[in-house]
Amino acid sequence: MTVLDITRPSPASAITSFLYRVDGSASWKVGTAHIIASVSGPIEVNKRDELPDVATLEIVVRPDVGVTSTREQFLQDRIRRVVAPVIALELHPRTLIQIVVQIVQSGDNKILNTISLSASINATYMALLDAGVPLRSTVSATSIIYYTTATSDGSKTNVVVDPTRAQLEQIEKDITSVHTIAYELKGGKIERLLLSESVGSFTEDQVFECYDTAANICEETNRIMREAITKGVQQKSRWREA
Amino acid sequence: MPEPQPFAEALSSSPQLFARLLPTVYFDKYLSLDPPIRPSLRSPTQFRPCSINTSALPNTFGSSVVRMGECIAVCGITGYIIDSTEAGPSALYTNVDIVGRTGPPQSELMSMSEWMYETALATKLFDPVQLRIEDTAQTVVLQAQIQLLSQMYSGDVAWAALLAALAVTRIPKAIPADDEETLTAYFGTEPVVRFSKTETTKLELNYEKLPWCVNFGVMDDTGLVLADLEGRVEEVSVEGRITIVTSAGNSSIQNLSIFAGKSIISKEHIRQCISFAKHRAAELDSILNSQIYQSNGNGL
Repeated sequence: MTVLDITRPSPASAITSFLYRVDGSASWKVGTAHIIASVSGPIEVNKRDELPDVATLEIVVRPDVGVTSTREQFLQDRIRRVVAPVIALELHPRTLIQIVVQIVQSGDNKILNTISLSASINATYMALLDAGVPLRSTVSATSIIYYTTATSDGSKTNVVVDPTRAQLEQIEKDITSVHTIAYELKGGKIERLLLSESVGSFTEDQVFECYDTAANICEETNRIMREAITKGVQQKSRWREA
Repeated sequence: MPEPQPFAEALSSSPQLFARLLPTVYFDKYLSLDPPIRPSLRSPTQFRPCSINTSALPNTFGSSVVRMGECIAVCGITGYIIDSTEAGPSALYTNVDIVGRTGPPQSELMSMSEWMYETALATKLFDPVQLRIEDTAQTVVLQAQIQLLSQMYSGDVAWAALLAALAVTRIPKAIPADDEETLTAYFGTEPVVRFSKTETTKLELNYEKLPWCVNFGVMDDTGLVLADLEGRVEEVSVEGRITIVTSAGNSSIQNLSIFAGKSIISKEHIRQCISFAKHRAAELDSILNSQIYQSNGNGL
């Protein structure tokens, strides 16, 4: 009954260093999602938020449409849980690292948060790299959706990774489970799981299968990030050649 | 024997002070005992005691009061009628609040509200078709107001309160309205209806064994799994978290949230937690069922 049919639309793309008034910025596009993240820090923190031994991390998420709601709070909480252990906060006590995530196009449908979350994590990480904030390792995230399609002899389970909005709308009624997974990588290889949010109706085996699929996708995403960073550094260093 | 330093004396004579100043060291001291034990005197795999009361609130379609350890949550389910044939994602609206607080909600609560809404939607607790009002193009939508009564709170207690309240929810029948108040308040084109005060039908849930929420922590240095975290000391000392929403018995899981923090979370950890979660779900089912049985003489 379960014959996996994994589809993945066009791979992600990223650009960095395009915002001038912040320390680092990144734009992450995957499928129909487009997220911009900016990082400023370490900068001055007000006395109330100051922490004596680590930097204070402030994350703000802005939606593409409408006013901020509980959805943005949820995204903010999840991004923090992924990113906070990776930043070497103890190197800059009594300062502030401010991250602003602007969702330009969420790529989700009305009820899901998964694409916004995985794309925001990637955009945030790239922006942190661009800002030169000390980091312990690499992070990359992906969204995996399981849905069923009717076949002549029952139903088939399909898997789509980082779907576009149009694809989501097409499979909306048949979605069985939605998984957002973020991995920590070192030297381009998977080191450990950082975040996993799975919602719907799924089995233990499906989740583990998901982790393996996500591991491959995240390594690919990591390569895309490296290319974007390399290009960015080459761009910034072009004065050397002149 | 040298005289004890005043500083050491002060620390050793006040465990509460020790817990406040150095929570991780305090926690490690307990766990390093043989067998390891937590400050709450629970073993690492022991869950908090839980008590559930249902149908205690008047003027609701269903209600519950759930207590797990020091956390208490009260859930009241009410509903209203909207001009739509399909309730869809609005069939159940959940809102979580802390009693006694004024001002905007804390971001942690807002995050929890969003999590509950998403999980309630994804777990498909009931079929919204039951809420439709016959012979009209109107439907009932439910609102679950969850109040947290203690300073300590966690998503699993709030979720348990929601499940217990839904398990006893009865939807009043909609009858034609004849009172001045309802007739003047409605501006739509549908026949004006109001809720009957006497006739109700039970809300049928899609689950015989309910999908309860269970939380676990994973220590980053030892990889030890701790069931049912509660309290500031545990929350600060344990960064790795696994939260599972699942029902006893069958193999499907409804929600699995893993935040590793600095811990290494392996497949073994996840398997172990899923297995514990299913046992706990069975335990909670029986606590709820015996409560319902006691209060109205028949089971779920």
